Amino acid sequence: MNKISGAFKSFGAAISGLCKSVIGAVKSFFMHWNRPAEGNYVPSKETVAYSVGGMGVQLLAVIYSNVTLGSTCLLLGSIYGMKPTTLALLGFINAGATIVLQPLKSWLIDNTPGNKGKARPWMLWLSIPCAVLLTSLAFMDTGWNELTMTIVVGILFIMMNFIYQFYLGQYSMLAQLLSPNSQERANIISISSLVYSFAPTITGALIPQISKLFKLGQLDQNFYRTIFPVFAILGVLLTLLVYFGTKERVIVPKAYKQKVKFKDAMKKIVRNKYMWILNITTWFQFGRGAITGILMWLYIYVLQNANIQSILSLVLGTASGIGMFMAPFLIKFFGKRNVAIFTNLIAAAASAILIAFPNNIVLLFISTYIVFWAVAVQIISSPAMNADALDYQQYATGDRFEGMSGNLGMIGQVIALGTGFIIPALYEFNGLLDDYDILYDTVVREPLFRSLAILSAVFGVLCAVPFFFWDLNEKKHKMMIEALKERAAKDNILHGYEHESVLSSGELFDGTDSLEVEMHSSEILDTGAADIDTEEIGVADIDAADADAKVKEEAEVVAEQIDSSDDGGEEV
Amino acid sequence: MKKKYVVSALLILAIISCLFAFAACNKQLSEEEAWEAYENALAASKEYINNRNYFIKYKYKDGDMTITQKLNVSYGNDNIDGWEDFVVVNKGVEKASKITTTYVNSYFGYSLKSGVKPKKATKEDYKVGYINNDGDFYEDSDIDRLFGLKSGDSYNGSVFGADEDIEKYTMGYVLGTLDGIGRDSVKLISANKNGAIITLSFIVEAEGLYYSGYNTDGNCLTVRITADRITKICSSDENAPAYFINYAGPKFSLPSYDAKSQ
Repeated sequence: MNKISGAFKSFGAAISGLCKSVIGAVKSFFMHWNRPAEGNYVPSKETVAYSVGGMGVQLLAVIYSNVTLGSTCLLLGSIYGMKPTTLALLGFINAGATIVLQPLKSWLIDNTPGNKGKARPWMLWLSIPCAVLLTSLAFMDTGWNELTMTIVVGILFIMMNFIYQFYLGQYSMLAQLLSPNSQERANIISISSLVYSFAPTITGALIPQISKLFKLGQLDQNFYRTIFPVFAILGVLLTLLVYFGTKERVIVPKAYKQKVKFKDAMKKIVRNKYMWILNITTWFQFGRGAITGILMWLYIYVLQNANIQSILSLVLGTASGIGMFMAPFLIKFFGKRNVAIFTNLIAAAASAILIAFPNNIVLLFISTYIVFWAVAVQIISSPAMNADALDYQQYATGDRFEGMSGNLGMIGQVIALGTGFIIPALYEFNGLLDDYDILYDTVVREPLFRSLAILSAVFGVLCAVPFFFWDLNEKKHKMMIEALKERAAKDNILHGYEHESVLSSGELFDGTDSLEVEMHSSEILDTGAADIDTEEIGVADIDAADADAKVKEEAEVVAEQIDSSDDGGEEV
Repeated sequence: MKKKYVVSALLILAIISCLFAFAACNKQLSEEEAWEAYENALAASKEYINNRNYFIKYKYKDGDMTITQKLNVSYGNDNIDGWEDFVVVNKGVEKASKITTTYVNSYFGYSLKSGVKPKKATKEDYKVGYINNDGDFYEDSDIDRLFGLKSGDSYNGSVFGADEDIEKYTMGYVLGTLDGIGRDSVKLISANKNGAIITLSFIVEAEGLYYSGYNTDGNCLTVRITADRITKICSSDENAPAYFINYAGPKFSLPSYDAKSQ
């Protein structure tokens, strides 16, 4: 009895603690509306601008989701009458164009003109062309012959897709540039994800209702000709909120002028093992969620009950929200590496249960819920880790490669062209060919779901494996940032920019340590030796006599030392 | 460094295993294996003729349109012990490509009294008959006759508006098209196994069979077997019907026979 009451008391204390943490976080949020908290860089109002502006990005994403190159696309398939094979061919051409244009995009990002940063300017410049091109796809003439329709839609789509993906990528990248504080970045990504998710939720409910006003509903071209311009205009206006309401804060000296040459940049990026870890894990992500792809089949062929489907959809929708909300807390307590490993392994375990019980509907939903939750946590942790990897790049070579680092992703895109056939092949091996009604039959479903469960479990583990090599923990990252601040401060002093901020935004960071860093840097210059605590990072001393070229040269030496060191990973 | 080699080796092993697994799923069957699979599948499928659930689609091209007609038969009422001759039938025409055809639903079989839940129903709560598109119920007890109705027949004073007689969609009829197809009457030209699917192609040279005339490599009879049951019967001719057989179908309940009077 005592044990039970003790357990209840502990549970109650934990809930009370959690509630207090949440209340404390909310209070802190409003208290720091105009000025960031100590140790942070971003005031709350800027987080709000980024988050609400993200709804604009999502509105354009809603338009994009209605013009995908697939036979299930109502506009391109049912209304324009484009054949599935034509759409598949355009999809293939588009994938090729994306790979070919990636280096151009990377170069443009890292050589962004002006001094407003790398993400915000492109969001501003691309928002209107993106909106115009997306909207134009609703205004094709259904009287055109097949060839004309294919060529016009194909050209427009390829242009639109390049610009749209560029624009979308810059919004995601901006979260990594708002603050050099890793935990703060994770918090911002979490909050913004929860806020901007409202946009697709609201439009998802509104679209069917709006379509009722049109004669043919969602098969009426006028429906798209109405909603596309409205969403596009709103999307652009909210994008302005992102541009004017946020600032990019990377740690660079005042005299720093980035000029990126493609070959030089790639030579440096390929030696960044953290970028490789993040990219390798994406090669296996296609398989991790294989079992979740059957959700609509469960509703249509197994459950066959629209009311229960609505309830379950709502319940499943909470998985992402809870995951994104929990992510910053999990990251704070366990670190990003451990969160990445555990969430992938949890997703794998949830899928593995279905190997034994492939036809158990309850387990199927629980498994899907857990996988959705795990993926949602990684929506927060992955960009945060990507930002850490970019900081490491700057620490190692003195360069910021937000754009060029995306070129490593080209390898993943090429791999995806092949792995994209694996799950469809698995469907066909298990009897799913030209008649999907076969899914009503348990005898056919069971081996198919079991195969998908095996695939999900295996690839969930494979997604976790690369993170065992991630040894850039939060402590090391913080020390790296301090080292970058000191280098930038030294450079400012040497180039006559004493008292200038080391942040690209021009702000003095939380106001308590800027003077301290400057004084420290002055002392270093007076004594002629770097006084950086390098022991734990394993970095050699840097001679600060010649700031510009010397820092870069020495930094490259440092990078070599870090890469060749046998620095063991953190124990899980 | 050792950790890297071990992990890389494991990854390569995993990829090679997957490739071998996929390769093993795809093979050519010998003639003996093919006929054995066909005969077993046909026998297993025939068990569904009069006493199991099934869902058949009958697809053919008519000019520019592709017409699909469906028959969904559900036997047995799990809620009433020992009552295995319960039949609920749903037949309809699916929308064809580019041109919308009239969707016709015809319901035949047992209908439950309104307000009574299936789990608490008894035999006396059911009536056998036909419900038309207007929701009018016509009582009958002759299921065999219902299955034999043809388009244009008059039924209890109402002209039956089905496009095709139901008989053509029944399992008995569909499997009946394979009557006479055997080792002695047809030539097996290919037998492929791909995962759970076996695809057999035959040249039918014998006369008097449903598929007589499909006697060239480019125009042959194809039978697909999935999970040891026949799931598709077709020829290379798009204008000739292709049958898709599923051994379970969508759930549906026959509207209540007294719903309109409520």
